[in-house]
Order: sequence, then structure tokens, then C-alpha cells
Amino acid sequence: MQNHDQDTQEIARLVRRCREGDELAWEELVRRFQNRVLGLVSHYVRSREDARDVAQEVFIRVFRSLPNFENEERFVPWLLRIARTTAIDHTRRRAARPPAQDVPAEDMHALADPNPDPAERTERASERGMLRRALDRCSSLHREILVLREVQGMALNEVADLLGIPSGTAKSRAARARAELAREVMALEDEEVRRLEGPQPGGAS
Amino acid sequence: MMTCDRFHDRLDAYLAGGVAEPERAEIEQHLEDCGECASVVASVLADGEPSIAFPVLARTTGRSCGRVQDAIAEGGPWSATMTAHVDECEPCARFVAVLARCDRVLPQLAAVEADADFASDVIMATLSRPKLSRVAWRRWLDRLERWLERPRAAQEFAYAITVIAVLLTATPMSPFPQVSTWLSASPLTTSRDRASIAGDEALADRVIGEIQIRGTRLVRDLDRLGQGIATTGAGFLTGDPERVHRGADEVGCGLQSLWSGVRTPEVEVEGPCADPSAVQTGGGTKTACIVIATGERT
Repeated sequence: MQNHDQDTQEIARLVRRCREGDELAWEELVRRFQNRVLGLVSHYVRSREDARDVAQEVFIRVFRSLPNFENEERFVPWLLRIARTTAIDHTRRRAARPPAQDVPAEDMHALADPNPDPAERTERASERGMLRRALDRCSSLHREILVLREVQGMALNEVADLLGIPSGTAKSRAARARAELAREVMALEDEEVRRLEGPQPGGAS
Repeated sequence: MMTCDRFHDRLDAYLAGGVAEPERAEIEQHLEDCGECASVVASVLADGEPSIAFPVLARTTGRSCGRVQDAIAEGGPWSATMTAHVDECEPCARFVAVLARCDRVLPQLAAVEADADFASDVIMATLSRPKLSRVAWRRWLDRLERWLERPRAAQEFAYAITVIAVLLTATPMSPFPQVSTWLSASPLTTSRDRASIAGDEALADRVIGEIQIRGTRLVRDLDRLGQGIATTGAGFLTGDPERVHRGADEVGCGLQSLWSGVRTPEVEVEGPCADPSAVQTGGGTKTACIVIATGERT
């Protein structure tokens, strides 16, 4: 907790320096949060290139809004909120105006393919891959709260605030989401076991 | 009237003290009526011998796996029946293990490694012009550094400097033509010296003035001059002093022939043209003066 507080203080100092026009501080801030923003965005935006563009847009928006942002201690939730809004805006734009060639770009959460080689199989067996796939199978409502609360580690009241729901609702939704995720993981494990036990002719693709 | 089934469903809540009044009375009534259910509660509460109580609890809450799992997912403190159920129920035990793994691994999904250019792209897009120019400046510096690290860079640099130096000083149109007199190693370095060779200062001044005017027009020897420059540069590049001197001589000769080309009717020199000692020790420049003077006399 001490460590966390120190972190918050340090980030607040950095943000303050940014607002005073310190360009090095801004660079440090970007470098510090780029992976996290990209991580959050990539849960909303599937293609790697789109996620990169959206993450850049997030930082551009943050940069423009910094002069009006005063609560430096609350920078991280603020940043994540902007990241979420930007990502959702992007997916809405995409939905309204789908790309001319609808080729799904390289998926960051590489899904199973029908005939994987052993190396890929090992990769897919990895815990992260499994969890990513399980997350993808959850309902979007549950996935979002999992991403914000469990993955990004936001406090429950921050999540409730961000999603615009009462904290009681957020709490119960988070619990249901956790349960759903665990069940999806178990289902995936069962599928994996069945697939490894024997290839069924004309079976799953 | 409460049935055993319903009692089993509510057992967990009852033991956790989470049953409100009218139902609570019903449950207590049922416990008085049903010896089996009463013994289950007693064995859990006794906390002494779990071997009987736990299998029973697994059964009684078995149909409520979903409820137990939801309670576990909520993350609150575990009730005794939850513990008992999980101990006996294999799917729920697995659920707990999977949930623990999720908690452990999910934070690892928080970040996606950004590529190396991500931050600099963002900074280029956000920062104002001074910063941009600073970045561009740094980029050019990097490029220059890489360029200078090439093996022949030093020689090429020397060559370029030489060519620039010669162009600045040793051609008729150079901004600093007097430097060429040092380059050709002549002891005569100023126009005063040249004038005195002719013996007649006024005449020498006129000759020199004429040379300067004509010199800018006469460009026929520029090819030779260029060759001289190239030879000098190559001499510098290869570290060959002989070529440097030869090139410099060629440049000097070029100047000399330009000067000797200046033969106008106005230039009339009478009497001995120059100091003999100067002729003996002279380099290209001196010779040029003398050619001008004697050419008209004969």
C-alpha cells in the first residue's frame, strides 16, 4: 500500500510537470503508460494496428485535456476512462462504417486454429492464452467489468463511476463476471482435453 | 411446512445467520421435527468431528453449486458450509482453483507491449514546434554521426575541404584570390610586390587593374584549373604530397597563363622590366608578371 501511495504521488508530480509544459515529463508519462493503455484498448479493439492508432489517439486526447485536468492524484482512472471512451468511439465508428475489405486483421488474442503445430499448441496451452480466450467468450458486459476491475486493477467504486452504475450493481456484476470467467475457463479446458484425447472425424473445426 | 429439501437449500444461509424471522422460525420448527437434519446442524456446529458433517454438507448443498460458486466469486469470507461443500464437491474445488488462477493471471493481461516507435510517434503528434525541431535536429545529428562512422568518411571530408579551399582562393573568380599567392609558394604576396617588379608603380597598378578586369572574363583555362584542383584534392586524399604540389602548380600555371594572356596595347613597358634576382628565385606568379612586361617590349 505504501508503495502504491508512492506511485500515486510520483505520477501526480509527473502530471503536474506536464501541465507546466515540461516536455520530458510528458515523454516519461507516455512511456510509462503506453503498454497499459494499449492493453486496455486492445480488449475493445481487436486489430493490432487499430489498437495502436486508438492508443495514440488516447494520448493525444489526454495531452489536449491536460490543461483542464486538475485532480492529479486521480490521473490513472482518468486516463483509463479516456482510453475506454476512445476505444468505444472507435468501435462505434467501425460498426457504422465497416471497412471496405472486411478482412479481420491479425488477432492479438490469437485464437485456436484447426491444425496447430506443437509449438502453437504449447502457446495456446499457456495460461494467458487460455484466459484471453475465456475473456473473449464472456458477455461484453462481464468482459468489460473484468477488464477494468481484475485486469486493470481499478477500485470497485472507480469502476462503478466509470461505467455510470451504482456501486452495488458493479459489485454484483463483478462477482457474476468472475464466476462466468471461471466457468468459461473450465469449459475451454474441457474442450482442450476432449480435443487432445482423440480427433473426432468431422468434429470441431 | 418445511421439507428437508428446502431446509438443505437454506442450511448454508441459516448457519451463516442470514435467515430472516418468519423463515427462521420455520427452520427451527423443522429442526425440532426432523432428527436427521438436526444431527447435521449439530455436527457442523460441534466442529469436532468433520468426517460425518462434511459429506452430509456436500450433499445438502450439492444442488446449490451455482450458489456456492457465486458466493465464492463474490470474494467475501467463506462460511463453514461453503468450506465443507468445496472440500467434498470436485467441480466446486476446481472452480476455486481456476478462480485463483484467474486472479493471478488476469493482471498480466493489463499491458500489451508497445512497439519501439509508439512513444516517439505520440510525442511527435502532441508536442509543439520547438520540440519537433529539437527532435528533427537530433535525428539529423544521428544521421551525420552514422555517416561519419563510414570508413572513407575522413578522406572524403578532406577532399571536400580541399576543393572548397581551392575554389575559394585559387580561381580567378574566387572571393579571396590573394590566398592563391601563398598556395603557389611565391615570395611575392601582395600587389605592391608585383608592382615593384615592373619598376614603374603606376604602370604596374594599371597592369594589375587590367588583369583583374580581364581575368574575370577569361575562362578558357578553367578546365585546366579544375584539373589542378582535382589533383590537389586527390593528393590530399591519398596523402601524396607530390600530387598536392603538382596540383597546386597546375592551379598556379592556370593563373599564370591567364595573366600572360593580358597583352593590351596600353601596356607598354620601357626599360628593364624587373629585378633580376626576383626572376631567378621566382615561382609562377613572378614569371607571369615578367611575361607581361617583356612580351610587349620585344
